[in-house]
Amino acid sequence: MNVTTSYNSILDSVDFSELSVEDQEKFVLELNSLIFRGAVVRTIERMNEPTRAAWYELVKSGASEEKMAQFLEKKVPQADLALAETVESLADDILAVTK
Amino acid sequence: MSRGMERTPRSKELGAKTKELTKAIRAEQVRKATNTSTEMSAEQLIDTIPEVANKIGRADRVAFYRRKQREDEAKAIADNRARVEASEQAIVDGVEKNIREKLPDAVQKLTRNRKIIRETEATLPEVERKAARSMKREERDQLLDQAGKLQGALEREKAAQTQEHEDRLARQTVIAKREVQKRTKPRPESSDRSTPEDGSTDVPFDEEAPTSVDTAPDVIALPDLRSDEQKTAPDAVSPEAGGAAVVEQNAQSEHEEPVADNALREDLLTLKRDFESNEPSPNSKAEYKAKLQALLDKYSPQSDVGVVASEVYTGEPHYPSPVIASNTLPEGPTVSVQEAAARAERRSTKQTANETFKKDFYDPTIDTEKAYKETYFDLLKAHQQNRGFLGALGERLGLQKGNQDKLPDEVQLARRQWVATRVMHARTLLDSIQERREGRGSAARQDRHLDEVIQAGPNKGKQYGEVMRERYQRMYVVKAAVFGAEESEQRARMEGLALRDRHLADKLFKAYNGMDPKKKIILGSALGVAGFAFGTLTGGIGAAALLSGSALGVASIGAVQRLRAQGALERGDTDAHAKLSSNAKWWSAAGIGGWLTGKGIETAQKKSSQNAEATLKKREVGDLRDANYFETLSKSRQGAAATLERNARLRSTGSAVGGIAAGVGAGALSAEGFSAVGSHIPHGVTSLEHSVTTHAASTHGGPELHSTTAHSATHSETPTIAPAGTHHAQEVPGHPDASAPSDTNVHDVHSQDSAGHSVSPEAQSATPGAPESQVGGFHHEIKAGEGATHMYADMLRQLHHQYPAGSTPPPLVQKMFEFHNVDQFARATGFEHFDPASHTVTSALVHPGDTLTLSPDGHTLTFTPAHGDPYTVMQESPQGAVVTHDQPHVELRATHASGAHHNGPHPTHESPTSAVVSETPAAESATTGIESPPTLEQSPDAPADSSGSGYMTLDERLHAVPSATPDSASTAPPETSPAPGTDSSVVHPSSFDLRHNLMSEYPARFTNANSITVDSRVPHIYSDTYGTLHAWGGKSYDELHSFAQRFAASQSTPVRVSVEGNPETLFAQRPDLAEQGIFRYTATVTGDGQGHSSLLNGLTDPATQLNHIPSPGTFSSVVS
Repeated sequence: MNVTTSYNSILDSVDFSELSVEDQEKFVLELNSLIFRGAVVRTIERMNEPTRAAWYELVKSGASEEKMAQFLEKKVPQADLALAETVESLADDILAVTK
Repeated sequence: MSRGMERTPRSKELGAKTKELTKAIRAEQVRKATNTSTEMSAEQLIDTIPEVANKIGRADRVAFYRRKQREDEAKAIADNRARVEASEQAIVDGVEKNIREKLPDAVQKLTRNRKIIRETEATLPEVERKAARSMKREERDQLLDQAGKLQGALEREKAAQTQEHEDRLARQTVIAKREVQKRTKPRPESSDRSTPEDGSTDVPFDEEAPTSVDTAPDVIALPDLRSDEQKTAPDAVSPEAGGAAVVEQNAQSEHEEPVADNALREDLLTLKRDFESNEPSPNSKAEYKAKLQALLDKYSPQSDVGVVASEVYTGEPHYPSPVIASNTLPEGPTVSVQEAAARAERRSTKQTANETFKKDFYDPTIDTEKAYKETYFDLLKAHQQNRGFLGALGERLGLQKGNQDKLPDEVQLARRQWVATRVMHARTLLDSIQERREGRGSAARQDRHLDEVIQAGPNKGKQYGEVMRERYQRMYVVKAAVFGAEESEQRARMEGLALRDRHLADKLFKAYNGMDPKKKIILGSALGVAGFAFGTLTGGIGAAALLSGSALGVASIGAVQRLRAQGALERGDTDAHAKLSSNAKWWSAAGIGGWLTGKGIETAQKKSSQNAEATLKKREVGDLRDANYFETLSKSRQGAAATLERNARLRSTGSAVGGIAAGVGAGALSAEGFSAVGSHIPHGVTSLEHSVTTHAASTHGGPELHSTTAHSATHSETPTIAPAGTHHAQEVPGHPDASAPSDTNVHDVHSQDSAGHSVSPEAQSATPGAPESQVGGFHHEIKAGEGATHMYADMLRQLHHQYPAGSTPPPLVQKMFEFHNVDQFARATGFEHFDPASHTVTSALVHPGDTLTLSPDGHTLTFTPAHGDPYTVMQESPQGAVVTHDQPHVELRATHASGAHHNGPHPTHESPTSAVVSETPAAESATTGIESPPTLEQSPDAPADSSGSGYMTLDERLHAVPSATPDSASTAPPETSPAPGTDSSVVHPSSFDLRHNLMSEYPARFTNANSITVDSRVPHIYSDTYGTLHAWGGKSYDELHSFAQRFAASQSTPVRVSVEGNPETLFAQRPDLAEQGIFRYTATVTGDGQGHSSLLNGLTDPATQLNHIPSPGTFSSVVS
């Protein structure tokens, strides 16, 4: 189950399309925030110490998004798995709840 | 020689040199003369005489000048000296004068200072004593503490003495027994007290002196201690020995006692000695008491009188009891004790309450959940630490961790267990919510709110109430269990990070939280692709993306890709899905990195799927429908306003996305782009619009499912006039988009319309018109609890289902689509009831069992009362004209023959959409195009239609204004009083004429039949499309009401003017507009001419949106 499917399964599990618009918006914001935080933490966990230090300096220096993205892509292989792991973890839990 | 004649050294020197020089000259003269006389002849000598004489004269002159110079110098010196002396004298005189003048003050000051010094010196001992006393107080406090300890020791000593006393009693008992035994034997009386056999030295029992405990006097009882018993008491203090003992006993601590205490002690001792030395007299005790009281009063503020007095009298150090000690303590500790007691009591109460609560509401699952949570977190943290260690090893080996962060099995197991317990706990909470629905708490309120929403809603809301409830309960469980677990886990993971990394994460979180919500949503739309991570991790990507525009395209593409993938999945095309997913990943990453290119967009476009688009639209349709129902029920008017705002926000974003996408040459991708934004919160944009629509309608008393509010709002931002002939779904009044069944084609049009009327050929082709032969009519039977609105809504719903946008419905159906709401329908069809008594009009009196039927051919609309004969409501004539049958309760009939005059609403061409576009006065007047008003014959006996068949055309009926009665037509016109800003010639026999004159004469400038732009600072009256007169504007309600009264009085026929929209209220809502004084309205008036529902409900410009969508009850008054 990839990220897309996981994310959609989360939405489907709560009948997202049947919710009111405000609830949809609220749910998406909450979900995205959780995913963001989880992805950030997991990505940092994936970094080794030199990478963490370099990443810290990069963020601290106010580097552009482009540079940060390039950094992550080059220095943290499979960084996108952090996102996948977060989303899939959430999806698994939610599916376990809503089954 | 006076001081002034004294010569200076230099003058003396000069004088000496002058003398020497003079001598030398004379000597030379003499020598020369001598030589001359000896060597020269007399004649020669004579010849030298002048020369000598000159020399002598020159020398004399030199001497004279030198002498004069010396004299001048001497004089100057003398003058200087005199000045100096004068100056010195002046100084001396000044000083002496100052001294003479200021000396007394100085003396006085000095005297005062000396006095102060003396006083200070006098008070210094007292100050020192006070300081010492203060210090002694502290020391005394310490002593009191020590005394407390000693008190304990004393208590122990007393206990020992008590024990000893008891032993002594026992021994004396034995002695007494022996005495008894002795007395039983005749023996000589002996007074000696033999020593006990056991060698005890105790005195006899009856002579046993009281212990210090028993005899410890109280301060108040001090005088009583002068009794004889006390005097003879062994431990009583004698004046001499006692006093000495006291002094001696306290000698050790004397230096530590405060000065006041010492003085008190001394005074007391003196008093005591004096008292004891005197002979007792009846007054001695009273005197003693008085003196003692005087001493107490004297020392009371400064000393612990009781302590000292007690010590003085008893000769023993005073050991304060705990109570006394507490009283002698500073106030603070005493209060603390009280507070502590209060706190203890509160704690006890709280504990009891907690226990009660726990007993009643204890949820054992929470403990289980906590246990599993702790277990999991412990394992997680341990794993993190180990990973850190392993990571360090890997770093030394030059390795990058790949999948090492996959949690070990035991950690994963612990996590699953924890989540499971959280689920249990959440469900328990849910159960408790069910049980506490009548109770308090936010959850219970939410649940009750849901009930209210369901109960207040239409049938569908009730029908699906349980489904909705189950859905929201599931949402609650998801949030409580899963989201909460994720948050906890993230916190635990954060704790496992180094401080620096935590700081970094916090910084990123902060950046994320600071983003605009819509940006978060847009980023979320890219979540469907794996590259989202890059975007999110960079924190501010959203802002940069919005600024650059490129990443917006990415976001939209990401969403499209997600939905495409979804569509592909639904088709079972996993391969396509994989490709799409891969592309999406690439595009997102590339775009976020700023690498998006037009070619990339084109590539993405080629890979798009029409089916995915259709699926997207279909999903939106479903969302819109049900969301509308829920919105209708659950949202307040404020919620509608907020939704409008949000809608505009998202819509602008959507437009930007569409524009960006189109700008890079993506062609039809614009539709995709917009749809994507609408779908990143899937269906957000369009759903919002429709929800607002329903809100606006609901404020008018029923679910009139089609106000044009939201549609107009949309178009107001993009003032593009829809192409003529385009039968746009949103421009069709009465479009049942909020309630129609899911219809992909209809909502395709919706989506494309929102994107700026870019109706794609595909969508057009995918929207086949319903064939004429397929019309099937409809049949609706009024059920209990239903009203006309239900009937009308169901009718429209079925009609739109049968005749979707793009189709060609029969003329009758087209006419029905033109009605904005049930009121218009009722007016046009005579489906109304006018009550002359109350001056109210009731729309469509229907009763359970009544039916409304459209014939299968779509040409005849029939109403069949449950108890009455059926009659035709509307019918299409053979010529294609739509006519309505005469109904007995229709009061007025238009008689003119023209059935095509323009005054009626022509929504297709005069819709609010196009009306708003015409904003300038010039444009407004240009688009007004008002023709001469028709003649209105207000006679019920007159033929009602042009054909005299008892029918009248729909347009005729639409403009048959019942505000004037036949009788009123003959009423003599009253004296007119021109209203402000009006012309006195504005006196019109009918509302029709009046209306047209109003258009031209009054400040209200009608852009067309449905739109009005007014200067709200000026009271004005305007007529809606149905002839209802409205008074609006002005600075206050009173001003407006007065104006309306004058206007009504000026008319030749009785008219009704609705005074509405209190300007003060409106301006209070929009102070910015109050400054401008102008409100712009699109007056899509839905009234029936009688003022019970004729109001503005089409606030089309987001810039002038007001939270003022008047309800029928907001009419302030009706002026007749």
